[in-house]
Amino acid sequence: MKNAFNFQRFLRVLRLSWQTQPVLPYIVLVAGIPIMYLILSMEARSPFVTLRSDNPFLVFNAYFWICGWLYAGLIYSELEKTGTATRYLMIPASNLERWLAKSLLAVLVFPLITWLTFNLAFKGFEILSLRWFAFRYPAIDWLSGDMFISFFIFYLTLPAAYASGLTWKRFGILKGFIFVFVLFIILYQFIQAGYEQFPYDSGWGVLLQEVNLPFLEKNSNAATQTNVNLFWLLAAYVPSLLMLASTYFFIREKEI
Amino acid sequence: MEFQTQTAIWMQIAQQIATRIMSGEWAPGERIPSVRELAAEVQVNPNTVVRSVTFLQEAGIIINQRGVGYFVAEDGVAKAREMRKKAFSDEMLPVFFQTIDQLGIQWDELKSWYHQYQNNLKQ
Amino acid sequence: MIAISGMSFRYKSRQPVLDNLTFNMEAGGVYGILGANGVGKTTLLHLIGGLLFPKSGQISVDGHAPRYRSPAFLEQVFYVPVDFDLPSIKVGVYQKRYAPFYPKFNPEAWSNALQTFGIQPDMRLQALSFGQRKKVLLSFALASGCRILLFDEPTDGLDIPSKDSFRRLLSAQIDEQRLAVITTHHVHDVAMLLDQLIILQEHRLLLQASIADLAENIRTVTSTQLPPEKSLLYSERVPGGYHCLLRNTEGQEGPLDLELLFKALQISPEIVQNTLR
Repeated sequence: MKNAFNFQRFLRVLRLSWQTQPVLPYIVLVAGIPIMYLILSMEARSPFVTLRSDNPFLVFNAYFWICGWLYAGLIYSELEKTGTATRYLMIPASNLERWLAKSLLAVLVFPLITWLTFNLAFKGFEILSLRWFAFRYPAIDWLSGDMFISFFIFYLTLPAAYASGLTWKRFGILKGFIFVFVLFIILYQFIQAGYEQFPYDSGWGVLLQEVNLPFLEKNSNAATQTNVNLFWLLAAYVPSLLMLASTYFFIREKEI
Repeated sequence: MEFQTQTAIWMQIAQQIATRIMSGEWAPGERIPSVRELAAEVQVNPNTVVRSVTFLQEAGIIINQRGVGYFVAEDGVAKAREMRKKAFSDEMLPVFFQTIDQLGIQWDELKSWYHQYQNNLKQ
Repeated sequence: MIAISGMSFRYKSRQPVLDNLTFNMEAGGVYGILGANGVGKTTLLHLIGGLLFPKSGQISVDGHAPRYRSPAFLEQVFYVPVDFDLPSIKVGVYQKRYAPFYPKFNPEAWSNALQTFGIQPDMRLQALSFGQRKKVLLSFALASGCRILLFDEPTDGLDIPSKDSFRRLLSAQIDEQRLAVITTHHVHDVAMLLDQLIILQEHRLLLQASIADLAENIRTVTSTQLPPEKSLLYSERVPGGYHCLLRNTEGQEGPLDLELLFKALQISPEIVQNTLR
């Protein structure tokens, strides 16, 4: 399979994928900046703000997740129409190269751009702070546990957007969002039911109880914490990675 | 280019090249355009033109110099005329004769038309 | 160069679109694929280009199975579909982006073709008409250096002078290493370029023959009277009398009107068995 991957050709496909990537997420990315500014400046002037110090964090999450989902869901939008799909599939490159290029853009490049844009926007807000109000929010601690959770969930759901954009022809990301939401509810119900069935002191009972709200509470028991982490790794990340990998087979088997 | 519907296309192209040789467009010993150029000129498949030039070569009108191209033979003009004549007697004359028979046209009538035609050319 | 054996294709559980096709296409040829609407011409091109996968049987293009879409295969195949799409960029930028994927791309042929079609490299693709965009895609195909060129209705949307230009440009690109496959309903537009004919009927192969072989067996004439019954295969009335398809008994190639042949075969496909085999 020496034909399957050639680094130079991969760079060409990557460049072309970059050049032909969807523009809508970038529009949302830019349109999000004045909205963030508006929200934060209104809050800054309001005397009734309670969550003031949390706001940049929440705004970042909303911004990061919405744009990321949109981008990952749209990255294969050219496969929706026969004309664009033909053009994309006939480009002399292997399926592996096509898939790697798209994945790299959706999983690394775009999130990085979103993160940079957010930080630049905040620098801009600081400069724009007027005399009668100023941003007094503390800077986001990018190494905090909350941030870790945020990125954890972002990368957990990104493959779902990525795969749903490929799976459903029309409104792929919306359908994907609903799909994940419904799945989450079912899983939640299942865990709740299981929690009531198992005796509290059995291993499953403890696990199900702790799993219920991951990360939000520190477990006192280190062994339970390990189990919880293991559960999330296997039950969430493995399917998520499988989903990401399965998009490769989707491209490979794609017919127009 | 309008093709007549009486003969195969490659034959029509051969006839056309012969006519151009007769008209002096390409002098004896001169190179004629390549198969590719001729094909593009009349928008046909080059293989069709290959058949035309092979035919002309066999008739001794043009000579192939390997790797260089096709050249008009020294006696190419005479041979081209011969070939056109043969095509005329084979293809056009039967139709012509059939028509004059059908319409009952007499030789004298034809003669006077021919003189008229020549006079028109002179004017 | 293209070998198809026992190939069938159908969508989901429906009737077959192509049923048990077997034929070869050789390098150096210009193949015309004719057939009524919906007979599977475009599907056949998609199968050759690896955009659809055969449900049974084999297809091999230049030694590759198209369904794997390997780079070595795709570098040799350029497909001009009816339903094409071009990005919203300048013509010159399009070339800069896509040409590097084709190792044998010929920039000279590209600018020559654009010039012939009257397209400037600084024109924006999104501002061009359908016909002009088609000219851009055809120019790219002709300059791609690909050994297999697939054209689905190449003259669709082209104005009359551009059809001439297309024929001239394609004629200049045909050589012994190359294979061009053209599907069309407008036989007259490309008839002079073809040297092989493939006719599909009812999702099957009705006829594959070289034009030269066909012309040795059948010929067309226009005459004021109907020719004798014995040699007449098909006729239709035209202002000058009858346009007739005849058995060629003269021992040499005569003129052959492919459109008339196609019409004749639609009505009486048995001509193939009776006259051509």
